[in-house]
Amino acid sequence: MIPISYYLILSTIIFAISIAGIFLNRKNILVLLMSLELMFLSVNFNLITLGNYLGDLTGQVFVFFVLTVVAAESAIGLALLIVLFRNKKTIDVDDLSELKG
Amino acid sequence: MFNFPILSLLIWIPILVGLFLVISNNLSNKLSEYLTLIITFLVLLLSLSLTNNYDQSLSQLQFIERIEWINGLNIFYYLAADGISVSLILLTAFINFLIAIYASSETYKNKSAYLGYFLILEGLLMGTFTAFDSILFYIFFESLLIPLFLIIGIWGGKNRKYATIKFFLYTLFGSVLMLIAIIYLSTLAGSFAIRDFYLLNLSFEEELFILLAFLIGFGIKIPMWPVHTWLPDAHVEAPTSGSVILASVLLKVGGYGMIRFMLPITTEAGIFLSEYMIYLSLIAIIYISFVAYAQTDMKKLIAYSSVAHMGFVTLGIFLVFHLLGNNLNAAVIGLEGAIIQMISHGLISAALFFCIGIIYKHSKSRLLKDNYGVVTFMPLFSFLMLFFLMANSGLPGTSGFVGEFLVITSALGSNIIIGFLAAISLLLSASYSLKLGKNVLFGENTQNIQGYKECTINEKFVLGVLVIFILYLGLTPDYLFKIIDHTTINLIDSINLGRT
Amino acid sequence: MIYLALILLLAPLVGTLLLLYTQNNSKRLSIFISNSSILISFFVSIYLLFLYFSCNYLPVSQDVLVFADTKLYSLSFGLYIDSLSLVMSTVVTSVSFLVHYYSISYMKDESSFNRFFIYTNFFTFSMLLIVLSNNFFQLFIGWELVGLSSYLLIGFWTSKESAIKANYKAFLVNRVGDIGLLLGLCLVFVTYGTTNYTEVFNLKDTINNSELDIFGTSFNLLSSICLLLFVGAMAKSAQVPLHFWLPDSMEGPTPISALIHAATMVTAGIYMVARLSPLYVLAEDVSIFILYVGSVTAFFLGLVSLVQNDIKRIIAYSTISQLGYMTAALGASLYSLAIFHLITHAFFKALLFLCAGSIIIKCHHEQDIRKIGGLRKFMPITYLAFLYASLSLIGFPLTSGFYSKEVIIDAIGYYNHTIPYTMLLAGIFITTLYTSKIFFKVFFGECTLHDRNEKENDKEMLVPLFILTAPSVFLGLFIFDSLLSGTLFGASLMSNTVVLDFYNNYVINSLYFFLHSFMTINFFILLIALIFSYYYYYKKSFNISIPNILSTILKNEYGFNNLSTKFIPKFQNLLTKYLWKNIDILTIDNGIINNTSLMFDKISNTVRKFQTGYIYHYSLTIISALILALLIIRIRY
Repeated sequence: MIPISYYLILSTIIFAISIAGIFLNRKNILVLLMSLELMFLSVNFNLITLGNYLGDLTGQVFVFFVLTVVAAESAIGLALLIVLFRNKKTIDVDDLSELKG
Repeated sequence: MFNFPILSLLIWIPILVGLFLVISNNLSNKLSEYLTLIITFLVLLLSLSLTNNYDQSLSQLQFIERIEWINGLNIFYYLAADGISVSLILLTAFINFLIAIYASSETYKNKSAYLGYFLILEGLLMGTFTAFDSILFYIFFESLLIPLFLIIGIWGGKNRKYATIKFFLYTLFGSVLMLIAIIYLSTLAGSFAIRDFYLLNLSFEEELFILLAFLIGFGIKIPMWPVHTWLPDAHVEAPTSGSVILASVLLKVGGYGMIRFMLPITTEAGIFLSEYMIYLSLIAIIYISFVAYAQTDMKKLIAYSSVAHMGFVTLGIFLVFHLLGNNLNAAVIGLEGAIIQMISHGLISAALFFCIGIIYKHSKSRLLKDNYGVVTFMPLFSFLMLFFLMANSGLPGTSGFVGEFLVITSALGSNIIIGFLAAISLLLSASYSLKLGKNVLFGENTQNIQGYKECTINEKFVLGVLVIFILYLGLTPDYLFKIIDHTTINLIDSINLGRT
Repeated sequence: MIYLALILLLAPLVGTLLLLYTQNNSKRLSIFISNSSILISFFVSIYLLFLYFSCNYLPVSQDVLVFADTKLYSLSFGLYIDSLSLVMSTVVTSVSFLVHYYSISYMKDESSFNRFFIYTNFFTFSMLLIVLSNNFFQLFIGWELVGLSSYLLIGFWTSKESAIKANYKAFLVNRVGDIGLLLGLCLVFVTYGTTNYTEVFNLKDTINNSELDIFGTSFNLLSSICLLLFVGAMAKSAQVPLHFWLPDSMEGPTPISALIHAATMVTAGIYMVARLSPLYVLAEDVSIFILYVGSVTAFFLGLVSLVQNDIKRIIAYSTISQLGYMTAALGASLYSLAIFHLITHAFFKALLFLCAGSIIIKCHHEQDIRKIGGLRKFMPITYLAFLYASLSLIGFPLTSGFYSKEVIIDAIGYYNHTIPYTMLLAGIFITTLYTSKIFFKVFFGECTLHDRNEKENDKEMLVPLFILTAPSVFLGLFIFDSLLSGTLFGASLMSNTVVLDFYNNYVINSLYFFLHSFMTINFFILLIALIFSYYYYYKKSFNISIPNILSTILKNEYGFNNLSTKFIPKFQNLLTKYLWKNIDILTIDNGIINNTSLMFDKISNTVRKFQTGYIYHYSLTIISALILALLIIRIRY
């Protein structure tokens, strides 16, 4: 049997990749959204692994909820993205600094 | 004895109608004027019937309405009235009625909203004067800022942004401190009812901090020296009716709060600090009078004179602390003087701001040097304005004298020097009031480049009614004395009993 | 009786209100209303006086209108009727009526003719309010209303710059005195718990010995009250150093000067002290002070009038000087003598002013006596009236002024107040000089009128002169004995014994006093002064050059002129500007308030740089903070 630490390490790696995707990505909001999805995946991965490990179904059930929320969220995110593109004619992250103080 | 929620009606009728006026944008000017007039008149009638039904021989609260509001926190919708509330309610209703009449001769953009805000303000003022639950009081007290902020901010003069923000932040700062004090008191008392606070046994340090919080909170509102500088700016930028309501009623909220909160709750600390607070009041009376004399803008002059006159109110209140224990009669005289001074200043300052508004309407300038020789073209108006200026300088026979006389009497009861310093205002107030009269009303003016014209019928009515009331309060104020007498005596007695 | 007194008091007020209401109607109506209302007052007053003495009434004190009646205290308006108040109200209403009548003609060319009568009626009412008052509170109200009406009347010509300045000044100087009066009133109220005269007089002994603590020094309470009240009297009755508003009050129309100087304003202070004589008798130290203030005023301000050239200003200073005599009498506890001089002075000074008004109107508002002359032939009646008034003023034997003034001087001498006595004696000399100065310059010498066919003024202006001449000359003799022996004022004035003692031992009776006066030093001074002024002003047979310093001092009116026109306004302007600009705006507003907001501005400007607006910066911050937090938790637990 594969030890639990392997799963956790994998999920950490995925999480780290997604964070790197957010930090280092200076080009495209689309990538940002994808990184977010990845982050959720890693968290889901953790939930399933630990749920199985502890023999508790709650973790796995929770993943379903997370997945639906994520789906909704990415739908909204994409919709926002389209509106943003219509208004700004760009989805470049560097150009989006309206909140600058 | 009187099972009719009259206080709630006084509060909510103007607020609801006001909201309606604010929301309904496309209401015609005429309609909104009539509506405002009718509502203010109705409120005036209601407050008159309130006064009529008020039993002067009782000293306890009357017209009590007490409904549970927020259960878990023990907060009640608790309205009631005593003599002080009744007199201030009458003043509020009366001044708002006059504003409604005066406003119908003015032109403003989006007038229905303008009048709506005044109605909201009226309702909130009624609430402030009748709330006997501290949270309810605080909500009314705080919301007062909003309509006035909008009135000055939207319909104000050139520099209105600065003035409104200054005014808003200043008063907000004070009331936040007040909120802290109220919450602290309520945790000790287990209830938010103001009357329960009176029964608390506070340690001296607690009292001291609470006193300071209240002093700053209400002191800014009154305003006391040295936190008075928002007032001249706010007055100068405010439209005429805004100045009127600000000077005549809003400042009184501070004095009312001092009587309601500071006197009974923080007595020991008050006695400890009374000397310094009296000094502050005396500075307000003398120093501000000097500053008023130097003004070149009519509205600023009257604004500073308001500060000086409110100095008498605070002096009368703080003298109570000073006199407790050695001369209770003088303390009663001082407190009654302070209350009467509030009412009388409400009438006189309102009248003067109306007068300045009328002059400004013609000459488009509020500066002393641009206005002269008004008497040649507006004889009746000048006569009335001179009367109000005389009243402002405390001429006997007008209401301006009564309060000052009582406060000075009370001051002499404690120390002749305080009395002497307070009495100097007789000279100083005459010097700045008559300077205004001398420069603006008199002098040679043959050209009339300002375009002065005698007042319209509305303005005549407003000023005439004010003259009658100022004279009435100056000559036979017995009725007003009757209303407040038992309440003040009872208040002072209970404070004194609470000490021993 | 009380209703009649109410009519006496309220008739002028009703007149005022009616006049206000009919302001825009014809002149004739306002003449009718104003004159008849004062006339009603006058007749009622005479009738009451008659009733009082014929039926031997006792003094009546009755509250009429409640001002405030609370659990602890009560204030009210009321009437006090006794011989003093009735005599005084008769003087006030009679002089006031004559002045009203005179004004009909004097003011006929004014555009705001009706307004004038509103003010004068109100003026009379305010004075009657003081005279008939039965408590301190009403006294103060009347006091201030008198100040108000004088303010309105002095500034009657609203577009005349000097008039506006003068009335401003008059009101403010009066306010200085009012501070004293108000403090006195409040002190009475707070110590006795009442302001009613009778009640206070009954209680006065109980606090006679209580002390008042000021800066560690203790003062007698009663003396303090008396002193404070007297400060009010000093301003209203134009005593040093609060006298300087009175000469400036000449900016008003001349009938008003007559009214102010004779009956309705300056006498208020004297009347008040006399009315409160039960208190003043007990305050001996204050009495001494009053005596000296009075004699200093009488002497030094009499001197000033010698160098004046404006006819009205000379008479104004003469009023101040005569008021000094009355005040000195009050100080020596000779209350009835002070009132005596007040009454006679009211008549002859009103006469003088009305004559002066006639002269001024004849000379087309020329008031400089150097430019007026030789009017005797054109105005024979005015000439005679002026002569009688002058004789009375200088105290020529048998005239009213003689009885009232000599008796004050002699009594003060009799009680051995040496210094005041000397000053008052010297006052006789000065009075004679300035009176004859006007007299000779105006009526004799070269004629200055352009139109040689000028005639006397209208009938309306002459009748009051006739009427006033009678009391100016004969009234003194008429009431002398009854007044001094104490039958006239009875118990309304205190310290009858002082006067009675003087009367029995020195005066004996009016005839004896008259004969005796020829052997006193007073008469010789008068004689010398008359001879001197005859040669100096009329014959111009010699010339005296007054030392430069002295004349400068006198011309500057001891510096009071500069003080009130230059120094105080300048000082006030500087001080108030400084307080406003430097303390209010610079220190409080800019220094504290605006700097606080600027400080917040700076802080938030620094902090806002952290908001870059880039998502990846924010997320980096969030995640690094998260990691940091986790690490901390990891390390600590």
